[in-house]
Amino acid sequence: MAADALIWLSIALAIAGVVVLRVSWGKPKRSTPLNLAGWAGLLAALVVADRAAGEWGITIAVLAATGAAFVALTVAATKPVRQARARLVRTSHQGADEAQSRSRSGLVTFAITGPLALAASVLVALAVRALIVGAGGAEADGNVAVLATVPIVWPVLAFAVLMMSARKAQLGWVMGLAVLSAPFVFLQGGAV
Amino acid sequence: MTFAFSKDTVRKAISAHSAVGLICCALLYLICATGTAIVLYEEWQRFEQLDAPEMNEIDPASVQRGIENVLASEQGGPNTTHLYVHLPTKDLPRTTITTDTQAVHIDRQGDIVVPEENAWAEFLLALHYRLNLPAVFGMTLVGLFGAMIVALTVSGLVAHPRIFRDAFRLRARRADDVATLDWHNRLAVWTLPFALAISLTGAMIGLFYVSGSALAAAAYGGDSAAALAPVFGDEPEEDTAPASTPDIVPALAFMEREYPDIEPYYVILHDPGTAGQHIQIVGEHPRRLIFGEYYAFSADGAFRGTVGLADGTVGQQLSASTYNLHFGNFGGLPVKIAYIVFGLALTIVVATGTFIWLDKRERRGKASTRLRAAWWGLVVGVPAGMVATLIARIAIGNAAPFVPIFWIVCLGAVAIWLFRAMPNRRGRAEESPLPAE
Repeated sequence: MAADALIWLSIALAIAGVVVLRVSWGKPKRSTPLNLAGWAGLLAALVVADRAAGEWGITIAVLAATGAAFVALTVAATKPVRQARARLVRTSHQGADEAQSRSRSGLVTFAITGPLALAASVLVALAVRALIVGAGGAEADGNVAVLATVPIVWPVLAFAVLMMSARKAQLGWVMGLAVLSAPFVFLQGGAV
Repeated sequence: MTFAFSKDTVRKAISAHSAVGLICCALLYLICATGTAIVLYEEWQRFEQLDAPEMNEIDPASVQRGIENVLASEQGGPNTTHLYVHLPTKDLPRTTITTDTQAVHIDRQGDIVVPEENAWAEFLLALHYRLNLPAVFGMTLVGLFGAMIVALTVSGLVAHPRIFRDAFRLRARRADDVATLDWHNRLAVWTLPFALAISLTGAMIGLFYVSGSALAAAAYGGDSAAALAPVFGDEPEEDTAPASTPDIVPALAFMEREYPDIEPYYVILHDPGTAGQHIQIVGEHPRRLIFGEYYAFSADGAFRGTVGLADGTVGQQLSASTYNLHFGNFGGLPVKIAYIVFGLALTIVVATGTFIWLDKRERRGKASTRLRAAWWGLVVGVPAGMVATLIARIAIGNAAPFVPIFWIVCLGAVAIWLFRAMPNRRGRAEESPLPAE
């Protein structure tokens, strides 16, 4: 019963947090107290949800906050807007269009960000496992770390490489990570 | 004090975001659309076979009778290596027994009633999970695309300097490229936690053939099962000497007595009918993200222990949570509805992302009529393909050829939209809601 009440409280706090932020960000000038109140509401929702039901409660609170934001967006979508020429309307990317494409091989870029960065990420993941197991961590934790690290490191590395202008820098980062991690492949030790 | 990326960084991030998005958009759209539909996996199964026997609970003795009936029906054929009993749950109140060669529904008395017929739900799951390809290729491909959602999320964040100020701005009624941009950015921002959760869990599952194989090669002599054993437990040694059917009644009675708060929803018999046989019961833990805990029993129902998915290491609990967090089956219908709404939003984000790129291209004076037509065809074709296969399921039955139907409809839609954009029809095709530049 107490857990039920806490879950409902966390949902209410999550929704209230989003509502307060909606009010705050809808003002012509930012309101620091309202911003803080909104973020505090969301943070409190997570804390209460965690106390009530751990990771399950946090997930429910996040879904509630997202749902509240969707309701706010639905309201925004139905409001009439001033029709203006597209280029005059403020957009998220005003003044910041795509970078000029450079005349370099897309295939090489694909190879670096795709298979090479993925291979480097696998090596990083194996290095993480070696460090966990080497530090006395559980074998299960080390193994799951490998499965969890690849989907995090690879996309971040791929994005970072795409942000780099020089081919040397791209290769340097990918190969550097691979070379640094490679020795740990030999320190796996099998079942511990 | 405010934090902001430099314009150059934002430009590069937009370029990276576009590059990744363009490479991934088609399959990503397919994965997001099918993933949204498959949230209702259990409900679709019920819909497909309305006449299957349903019950809120079943007596352990009836389950035992059901197992014996199914094993008796297979006498003379090859022994099944595993036998799974799905016990009635709130989402799927049916008792279904699956062996290596068949799946049947049983009634409250344990009598076999009808074969399980859920080919459409299975097709949809396979389309999402592995694009109807062999698992090693399909799952890996889907895992790679899941990881790319992470890359798109990160690059989208960097490319979006006014992320908070614009968070509630949605100029949908403009119905032009600004509206498209708003739909894309707003839905992407608010589905960010959801997108990260499902993409990371999806990539973790899908990339197992890459990361798990590498782990197995580096630490277990290439044995993937050995790599997973510390997490999900291992299988005892086989002993193929004949033995009588295992008794699940004391095992289920033990669960009810010792773990009254745990909801058993699967009984698994390993190597039934052999001396090496043993029982596992998968129990759902309320208000947890884990799919359950494995409770192990001997063939005569003596409790042997748990694997530790509920209370073991962080890694065990994390890996056991990936499935439910990905598929949204941890909080009943309200969570499923939330997953459908946010899944639809993510699908729209992928669709509008490509339209934004096409809009920019056209603003630069590059004609994109065919590209736009092809993209429209795919955007319409994927859901049309799913609906067509569902109609085929209803009209033709469980044996309908879902894979060819889906792809014919999907690619047919692309062809139709391309045809409509052909030069002699271009007068109509190039009609665009874009504002004059």
